[in-house]
Amino acid sequence: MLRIKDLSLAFPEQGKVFNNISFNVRKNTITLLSGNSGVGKSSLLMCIARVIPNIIEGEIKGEIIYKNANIADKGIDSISGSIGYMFQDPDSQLCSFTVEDEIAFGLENLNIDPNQMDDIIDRALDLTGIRHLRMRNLNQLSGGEKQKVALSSILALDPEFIIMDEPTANLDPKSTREIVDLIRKLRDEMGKTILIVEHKVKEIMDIVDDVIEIYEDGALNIEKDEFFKSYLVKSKLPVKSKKSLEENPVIKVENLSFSYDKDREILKDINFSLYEGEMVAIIGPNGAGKSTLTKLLIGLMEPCKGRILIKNKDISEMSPKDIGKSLGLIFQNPEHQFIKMTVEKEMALGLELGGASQEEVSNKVDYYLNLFNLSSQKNMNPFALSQGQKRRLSTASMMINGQPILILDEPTYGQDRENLQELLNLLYDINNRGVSILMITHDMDLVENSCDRYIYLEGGQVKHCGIVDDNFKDNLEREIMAYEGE
Amino acid sequence: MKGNKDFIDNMNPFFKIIMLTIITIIGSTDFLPFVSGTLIISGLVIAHLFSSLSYKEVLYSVRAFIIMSVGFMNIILLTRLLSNQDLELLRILGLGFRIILISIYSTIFVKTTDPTEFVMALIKYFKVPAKFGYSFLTAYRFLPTFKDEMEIIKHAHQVRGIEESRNPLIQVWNSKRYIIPMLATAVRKGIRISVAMETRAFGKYETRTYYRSLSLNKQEAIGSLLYLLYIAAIITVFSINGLTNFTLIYG
Repeated sequence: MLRIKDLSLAFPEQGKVFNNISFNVRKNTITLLSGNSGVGKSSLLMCIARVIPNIIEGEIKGEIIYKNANIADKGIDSISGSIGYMFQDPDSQLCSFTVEDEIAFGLENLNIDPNQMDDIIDRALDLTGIRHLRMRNLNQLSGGEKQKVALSSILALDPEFIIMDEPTANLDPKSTREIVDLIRKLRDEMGKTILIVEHKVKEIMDIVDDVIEIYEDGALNIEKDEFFKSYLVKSKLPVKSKKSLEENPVIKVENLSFSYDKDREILKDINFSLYEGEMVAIIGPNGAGKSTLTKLLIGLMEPCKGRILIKNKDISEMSPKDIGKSLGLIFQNPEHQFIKMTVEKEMALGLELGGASQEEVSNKVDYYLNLFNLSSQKNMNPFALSQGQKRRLSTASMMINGQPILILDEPTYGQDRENLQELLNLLYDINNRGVSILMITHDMDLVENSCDRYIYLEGGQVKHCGIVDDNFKDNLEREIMAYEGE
Repeated sequence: MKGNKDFIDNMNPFFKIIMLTIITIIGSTDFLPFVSGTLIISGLVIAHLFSSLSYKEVLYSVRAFIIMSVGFMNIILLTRLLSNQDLELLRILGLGFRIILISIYSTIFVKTTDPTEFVMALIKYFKVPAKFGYSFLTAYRFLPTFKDEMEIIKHAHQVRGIEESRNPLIQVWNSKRYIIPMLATAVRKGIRISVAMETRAFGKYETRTYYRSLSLNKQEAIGSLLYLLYIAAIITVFSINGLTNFTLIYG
């Protein structure tokens, strides 16, 4: 179906990305594209979809043979509609306001008769099981639902070949399972061919037919069972020994409720504590109210009812600066907190504003640069760092003043397994020095390996909380099923 | 009147664009407050009767403009009073009313018009290229996201110890700190959305079909024409009585 022959890519500024990549994708299969972080997997997908060089500038050499024709020198319009392209951020791939408009968009572009569109839209929505959402506004949908809309809008065009770049990256476990089932259905029931990059290997290993590993100077078709076995070992997250420390609460959330308008309560009567020295996770499906709770915990919004105490002080009486002195906040997107133009200045900022002496600033910055493995990047612009480096810098610059509490919003966002392993080791180190850590996440592996306790949020309420032990996943699943049964 | 409550909401944006353009021209050219004042009241009544909006909703949405124009009027009056100049109350009232007039009609337009149909109307009736139309649509879709992002960035900076000045001018000057992260996100989002659009064949052909049908309905045309005649009648009557700055020349 697709043959890549001696493909090389270079970007005007960064230079060479990969060289001499050759592999085949068989018809009606699911092929996993693997490779180390930064090797150019997403760029390769963009070359095939003709996004590079049509939308993003890049120099391509070699051949991309799709259905017996070389498309390497053709424009994006030569394959649009025939090759579908789905990526990880559900919001950035939707361009209209309602579900049906979104599905109709591609059909309109292909000059399909409007009288036929209703049937095609229904069929595409049926394939992903979201026909009931047809009239809904896109802004009201959860991440998983948006991803299904994006897939429906591609399926409406009936492409034979679909490229997927981490389609489940921002999804909770349930939505991930649903998307993986859909991918299987695309191959088995609709005869589609799929080329996918996905870090949640455990979740998709059962449906993959072939694995291609790409390197800087080539690609290999590798035996899949062997690959999965070694990948699972290699990607195992470091484990922290569990503690039970329910003595001194550093964060106390009492009877917290929040709503944006009278009709819809986002959070209802939330109660929990984070104790000194603990690592705790707030988990729950997309749309459970985690983001709203995070905004309240960091003082960005005020609750309608209840209060949040940080070391016995009501957060509503604290200025953002005071909150910053008590808490280190690691935002979902590290770029949001970058202010200075070099890594070194970025790290020094908190200390300088806190009135530290020049010598103290210099010593501490050197220590943290070293601790967070950023010494060789100290003169770089924070925006030019890799995803893993950005996350490390945001963590380091938020912790440099020695705050006793750290809140991380979706620490796995934009991180591959390697980066996550590095980050976790750092967090364990910080935690061992007495820092209490609260993370908001939907990565169950992360919770299982790193946290002492979990708080499960669903429908804006704490549905369950408990300690993270060997039976954590089973217990949680039982609780969720009991809740859904009710 | 109950059955007509969505008449303006369902109206083809073409008529609403024409109406808003005419109101804007009147608001920009007539310096006296009589026509503007009458059209403000008529607009509120018409919106209340023929759209899903209530008086309260419209007035609440333009509260900033009302406060601004009342503020302007008072400052100018006070300055003129202190400097012993002619008060020119009518002209000053006219200035305030013009701001309120345009803001009220714009609000009714924005709140009753589906952005997708607005873009379709621009492409279909005003021959705006589809590329520009859809660029506007996607930018409009991301406005709330950018607003949220700006708030998060501001908060992230404040938490790190950067204090926001109380002086609005310094606030504007300092906002440059937020521009780089905002631009980084906007550029990335812009690239992704154009990838999503072009891989779904946007721009592949010179023509495209439209799922939603947008037609010029007779009832809507008559409704719009009646309101235009009403506006013309008001201007004529007020002009004859010297209550506008338009001059009517008789034979």
